[in-house]
Amino acid sequence: MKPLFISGIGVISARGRGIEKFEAALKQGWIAPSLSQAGRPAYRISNDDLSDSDVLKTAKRADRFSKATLLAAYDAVKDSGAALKDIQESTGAIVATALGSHSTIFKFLDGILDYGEKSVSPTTFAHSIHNAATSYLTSALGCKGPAITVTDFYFPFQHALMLAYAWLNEERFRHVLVGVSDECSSAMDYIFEEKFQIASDGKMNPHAFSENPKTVPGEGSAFFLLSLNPAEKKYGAFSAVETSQAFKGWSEADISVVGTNGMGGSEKMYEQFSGKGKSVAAFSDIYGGMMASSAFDCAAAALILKKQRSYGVSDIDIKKSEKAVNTVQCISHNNLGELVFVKLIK
Amino acid sequence: MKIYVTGVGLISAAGKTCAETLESFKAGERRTSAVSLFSTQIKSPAYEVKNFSRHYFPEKLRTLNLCLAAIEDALTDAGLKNKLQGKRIGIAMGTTVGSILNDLDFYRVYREKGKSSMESVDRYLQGNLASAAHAFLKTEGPSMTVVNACASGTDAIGIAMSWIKSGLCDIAIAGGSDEMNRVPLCGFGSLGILSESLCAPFDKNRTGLNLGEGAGALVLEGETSLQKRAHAPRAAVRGYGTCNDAHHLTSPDPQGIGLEKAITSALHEARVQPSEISFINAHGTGTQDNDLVEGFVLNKLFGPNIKFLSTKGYTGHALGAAGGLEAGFCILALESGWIPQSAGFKNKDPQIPIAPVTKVTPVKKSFAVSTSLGFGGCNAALVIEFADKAGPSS
Repeated sequence: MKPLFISGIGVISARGRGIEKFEAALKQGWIAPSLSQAGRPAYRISNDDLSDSDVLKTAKRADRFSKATLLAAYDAVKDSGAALKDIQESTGAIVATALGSHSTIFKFLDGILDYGEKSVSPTTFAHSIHNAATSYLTSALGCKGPAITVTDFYFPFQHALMLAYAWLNEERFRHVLVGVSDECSSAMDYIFEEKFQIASDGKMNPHAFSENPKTVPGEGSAFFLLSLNPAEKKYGAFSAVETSQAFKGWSEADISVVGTNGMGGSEKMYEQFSGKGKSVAAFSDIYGGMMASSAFDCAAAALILKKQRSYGVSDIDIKKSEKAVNTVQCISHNNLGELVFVKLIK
Repeated sequence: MKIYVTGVGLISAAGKTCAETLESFKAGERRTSAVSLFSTQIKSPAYEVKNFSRHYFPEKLRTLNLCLAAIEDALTDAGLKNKLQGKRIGIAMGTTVGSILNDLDFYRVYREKGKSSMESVDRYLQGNLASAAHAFLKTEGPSMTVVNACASGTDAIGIAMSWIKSGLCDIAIAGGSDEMNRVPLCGFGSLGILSESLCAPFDKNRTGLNLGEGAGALVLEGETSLQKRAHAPRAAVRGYGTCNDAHHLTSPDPQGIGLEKAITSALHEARVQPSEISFINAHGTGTQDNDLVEGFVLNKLFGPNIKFLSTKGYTGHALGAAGGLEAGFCILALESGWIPQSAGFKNKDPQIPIAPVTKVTPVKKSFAVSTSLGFGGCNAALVIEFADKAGPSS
């Protein structure tokens, strides 16, 4: 795979909006999540962070999911320094999600239950469709290239990244905005509580590699602006995605960022990536448990490469130490214990 | 690089096999009934797959079962059933319903009691089409469930093409699947685009769409894979174009700018001129906006004499499955040398400069175009070439 150079990153999560806030959260480490009305811990995006009237002026009616998607995508372009008008005709968009805009879907079901099949809201229906967020993204940013929405429960970002590579490799266009979005509604809080072990004290402990890990549900959106042009590199590059179950990781990886988010069963398998001479980092306790959290892990990895800083448990300024970080692998797993690897290079 | 189609699996109200589909097309049969899969107050003819009993997973995972049945048929057709191990297989399937946790019974109980059975959640988590198909077939490779509204199936085929061209897999299975479901039925009803009578795509008196269900799957291979196993292709997907309108959540751009770009891009990739296109399988839902925009763009690009039809009059609008089904229909037509009448069309709309075919019509065994439009401003197009049975080296 040719390197996909990262020219901009946009992140919105419970820890704020923008790559600077994301990095500040990585440096700060864990803070306690908020509690829902039902007393369940969750990392939710604040309403203040979803209320940018300039960016959202064409998306006033959009739901939280669409707003988070649009803001993160917009921020990725802004972070790159590119003018929107310069990339509108040359950019494709790929939005990946695990669960989609389910709060709007439930709102539509409310309509059926409360008012009957013939009196539901057409606006709610239109917003409940998985690609509504992508539609807002393309309209607001004026991106008139291809725009695809894809869904997968465990590896949505990794597969979206593979498509980004294929599109750029075919020269369908020069840039791809690729990212993930997921939200956490009160109904989903309940489902998570039933399906996963929730850390009632708010502490996920992602470095424990536990057989019975705990999670705190999170929500957010993370986007990358990618191109094959090395001159547009700001953060390093994605250089490989490996889905084969025979694959065991890249030996040259200086750091492994592992997807210990408490949502895929046992995390014991990550022990193999730690130990003598191996550095492992895990950041899910920063932004919470999301099935699409690998994009956030990759954003953290991109920052490690750019800033030469190891965040998390041992926050080290690598520039002052002897060994530079040139390669980071991000590893995620699913409920079957299958691993998928993404490689980022400096 | 040419991407070949070596297997086709089609299941819709028009037929549960390719042969049955051709028979119903030729006879002009429109197999509709009231919705029978769930009770509803909404009166709109439905195109259901009757007596469908191929249950690979629990019966309620209907979208997934339809999907796997079409995939199984396509693999059998391609001579690849149970022969995928050791190969890099990509699976891209489009859907709308199959991606959504929209179980009304689960939600009703949760709303009332603050808790509910996890049965429907477990079912939902099993039902991601591409992941489930990979697990079912025990294959490895790129995986993508495309949820680009009604263009999903066409986009899935285009994505699979890109994977093979970029060396990410050797063989890809692509298409779409969707079941008849209450949520889109209510949703399209609320938008006022669900017809209470049989749909009439491109007709002056059209009153909206009818929902359908089904699945269409193609097996795609590059030349290297095909030559290794000396299997005759049925067709080649020569071009794919996709473009977003960046205009509106539910309405197409009135000038059809995105659709025009998508078709032009597909033709460009295929290196085919509009004059070489034998016929077009249009999206043709039967709604005012869709048919107006599509008719305008097809006339602009292909001229007034282009042969085209909508097959929605035989299948209903099968949403995420439509693109997979209609790409398959194009292949059947290229092989047979005819297209069926555009069911439901009687009166030319003076606002649409062209009209679809009104009878079984001979077509050249050359190139076909299949178009899809979807909510969110999605537009996608495929250029499909008839392949004689001599294989890629001929």
